[in-house]
Amino acid sequence: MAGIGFELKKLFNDRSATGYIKAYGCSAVVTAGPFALMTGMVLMIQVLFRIFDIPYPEMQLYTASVIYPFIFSHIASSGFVMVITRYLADQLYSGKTKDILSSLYGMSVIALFAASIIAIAFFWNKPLNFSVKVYTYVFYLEMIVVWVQGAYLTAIKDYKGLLVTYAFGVAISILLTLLVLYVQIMPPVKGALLAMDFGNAYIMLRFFIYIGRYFGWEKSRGNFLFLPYFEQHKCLFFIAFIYTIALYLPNLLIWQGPLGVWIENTYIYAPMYDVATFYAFLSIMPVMILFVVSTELHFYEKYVAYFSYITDKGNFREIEDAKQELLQSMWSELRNIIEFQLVFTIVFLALGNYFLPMAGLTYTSVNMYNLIVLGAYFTGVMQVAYTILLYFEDQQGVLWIVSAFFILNTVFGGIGLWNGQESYGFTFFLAAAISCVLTIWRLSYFCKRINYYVFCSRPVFYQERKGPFSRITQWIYKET
Amino acid sequence: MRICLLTEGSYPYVVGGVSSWIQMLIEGMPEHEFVLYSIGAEEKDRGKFKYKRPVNLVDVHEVFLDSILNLKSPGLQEHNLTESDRRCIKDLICGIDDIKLDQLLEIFCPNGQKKDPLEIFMSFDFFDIIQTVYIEKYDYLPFTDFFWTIRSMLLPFFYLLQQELPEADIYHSVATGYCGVLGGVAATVYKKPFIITEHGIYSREREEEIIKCSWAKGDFKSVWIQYFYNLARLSYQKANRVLTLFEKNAETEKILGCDEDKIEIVPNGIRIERFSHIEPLKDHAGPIVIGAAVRVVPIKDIVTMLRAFFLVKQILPEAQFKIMGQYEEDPDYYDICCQTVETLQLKDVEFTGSVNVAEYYGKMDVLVLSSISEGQPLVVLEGLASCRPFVTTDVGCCREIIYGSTGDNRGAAGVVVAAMDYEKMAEEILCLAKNLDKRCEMGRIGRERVEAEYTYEKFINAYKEIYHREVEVKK
Repeated sequence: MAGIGFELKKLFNDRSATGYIKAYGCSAVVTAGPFALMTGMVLMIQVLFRIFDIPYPEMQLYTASVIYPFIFSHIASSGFVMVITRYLADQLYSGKTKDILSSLYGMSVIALFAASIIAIAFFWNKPLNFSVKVYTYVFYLEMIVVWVQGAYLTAIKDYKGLLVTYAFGVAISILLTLLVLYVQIMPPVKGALLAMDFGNAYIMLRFFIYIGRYFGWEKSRGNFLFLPYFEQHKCLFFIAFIYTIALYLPNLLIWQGPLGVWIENTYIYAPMYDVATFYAFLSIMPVMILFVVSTELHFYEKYVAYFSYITDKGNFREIEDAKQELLQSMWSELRNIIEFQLVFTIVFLALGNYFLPMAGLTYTSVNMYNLIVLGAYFTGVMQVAYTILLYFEDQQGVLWIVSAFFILNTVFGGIGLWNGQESYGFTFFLAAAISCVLTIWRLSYFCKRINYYVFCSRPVFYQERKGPFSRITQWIYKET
Repeated sequence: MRICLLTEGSYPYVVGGVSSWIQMLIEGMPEHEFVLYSIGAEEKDRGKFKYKRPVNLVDVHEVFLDSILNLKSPGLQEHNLTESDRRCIKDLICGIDDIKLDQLLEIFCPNGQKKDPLEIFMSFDFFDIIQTVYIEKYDYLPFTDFFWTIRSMLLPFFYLLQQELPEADIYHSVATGYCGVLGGVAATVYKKPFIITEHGIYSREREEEIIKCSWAKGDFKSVWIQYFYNLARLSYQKANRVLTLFEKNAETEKILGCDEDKIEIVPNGIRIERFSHIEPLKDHAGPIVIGAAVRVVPIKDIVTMLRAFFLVKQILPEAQFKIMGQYEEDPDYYDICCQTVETLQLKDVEFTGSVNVAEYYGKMDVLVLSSISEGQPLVVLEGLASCRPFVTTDVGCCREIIYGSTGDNRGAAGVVVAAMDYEKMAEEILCLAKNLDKRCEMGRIGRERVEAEYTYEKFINAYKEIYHREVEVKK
């Protein structure tokens, strides 16, 4: 996302080996943190359940009660996170840190409110035990906040602190679960969920403290000053939202098919496909980590040079030269990432084919895994390419791309569902591959006429935005 | 006949030489209908006419440039110009000769359908044109500034091309520039004749303005100046006839690219009967009275006159000096004038304020004009019509009025001195003051010249004749 890690950039100014390691570490923690947290925790607690001989349906309920909030908090928060990231980037760029902490409060409230509606609607007439519903709901809300905080954490250099926080949170959850299972003061699922709520609450609060310390606790002018961003950058909201739904769409569709399994008549999932998806998506962690570092290290510098020639009275030759350098650097970085990730993808294919059957996956499931790994590869490349487009403010173009990704997944997913199990995974692969090609095509088309887009995308004359969000903000803060 | 007058930043919102001229022209031809197409700066002026609307001014179209700000920016556009459209717009920016106005019109109003000018603005094609022009001609300038300069230069023009143009039998623009080009466009669309009357030289005036202005910086001043010269040249090309007030202007127009055969001189005229009651000069026992009918503003350079009067006073201590004209317009300058009077310890200087000059000229012995810039000053014509000799600076067509234009052998009706040369001015005033015969002779010549060349009737008849002739030729 445009502007991520303006602060992260400082790490890379320290061009020593430790500087690089720190930078990669930070990028890894921020990018893969929540994912690693959930996976690690679920696996550990599942182990505990086995040790204490908890019946399988209980374990299934527990797993679903973690995965559902995780997936849906990701979807529900994605749009908000994108918009607040943009707000943060702009604030940091103009050196205004005063309103940042309060924007976290404001944005959390809005995201929680929006997310609650979905959750309450979902749980409304489900036969699940009420307290399990409540504990799951709490976890879901905590996750929403953690996703939102993630946007802020990219700006904080203290990756060790973040890592320790994650580790502590996970440890709290696991230890409390152990305690609950050991002393048996409450049913295992409830106890494990409650333990997780505590662990997550710890993480959430720690992050608040980190963010507060970093940006300062000063009183700001208001918690909702970012609202106009929902007008100016409404495209960003939809881009993130549509893209995230599209990512989960193949799973959501397959749940409806013959592989779907109901748990307590509340959750439905398709373990055969979902587990394959989970392992497959682990394969593109490297591309995400590498991209953050590579943009910060090479691309961003050229990007700034190009724009400063434009804003600082550069003549055409200088702008053109900077453009050439920028594009050259961008394409070579992109090529590097594509090649680098290809290696990982191949390694994951090999490892998956060897180890997954050992972990109990069926032949069909491993087949799905293979296709999803390839699909994930294209998804990763697509995400990198569209993030570059967002750096160039091509919000319209990206919205168009993610919409295509969404539609292709819906159409192919629907056909796959009708066609039967053998096409599961393939439909996602197809949708991802086509979308990836579209994105690269758009990127190359855009880059050919980048000067035009940069110069002409601004309105001819400044027009004050007077949409509902601006008006609400004005009304709240009595601005005229 | 229906005549469409095109004005820009003058009639009917601003009081001044050009506006009064237009009022006179319309009132002088009650048998013709006039339609006014007026380009103003700000929408708030709409309907605020400074002149009594003549009955034969049947329709007024008002267009204001600040309305452009209300246009909504559309999104990015890909290709919306053909190869020849692109060449046409490029030629317009570069100032290439023979721009096809009908094609420009076709770009902005294809088949009479209006197209949002901003649509062109946001297109890749338009950006490409700017880029090409930049690389060809301006690659030493900062590109971003160049880009915005071209945009702000062309937007008003594109906007105006979109506005509906009234139908008429002949189009008559009172300047080159936007209204000049629009006149050309209207004439092309309706296949009617088009004439221009230039009072001052529009492009020169813009040049002076731009050189002094703060909104255009450094090299961009030349880009802007060039643009206005291009507009002027385009107007000249499209005009069937270019009229101006005096020979010097005609020479300038030729230099600026106007075809010599199109140029015709039609001087302004005054209603001479207003001054018929004034008696010729005669010997009187009283002190010499020197008069200047001017507004007290810097461009009239009152201070030079005061200095000259100081020198006159050294020889003719009794002499009097009357400055007839309003002094409220520029209070600071009026203060400077008063201070000069004080510093030089001048006596017998009177600022009369706004007066009817016809009542005052009879009391004058010598008239003075010390302007640093003029077109064809009516005060000089009026002074001469009152049989008074004039000492003027060599600006506008003063030399023509005083010494006669080509083919006029009547003689001198006064003396012309260099601008700001107060010593020479004083010398000439003294020379006239001391020589009654010379004053009388010059007064007579002046009156004769005005009667022959600069009457209101002559001016109106000349335009009637031109309108008829051009309309006939076009038929």
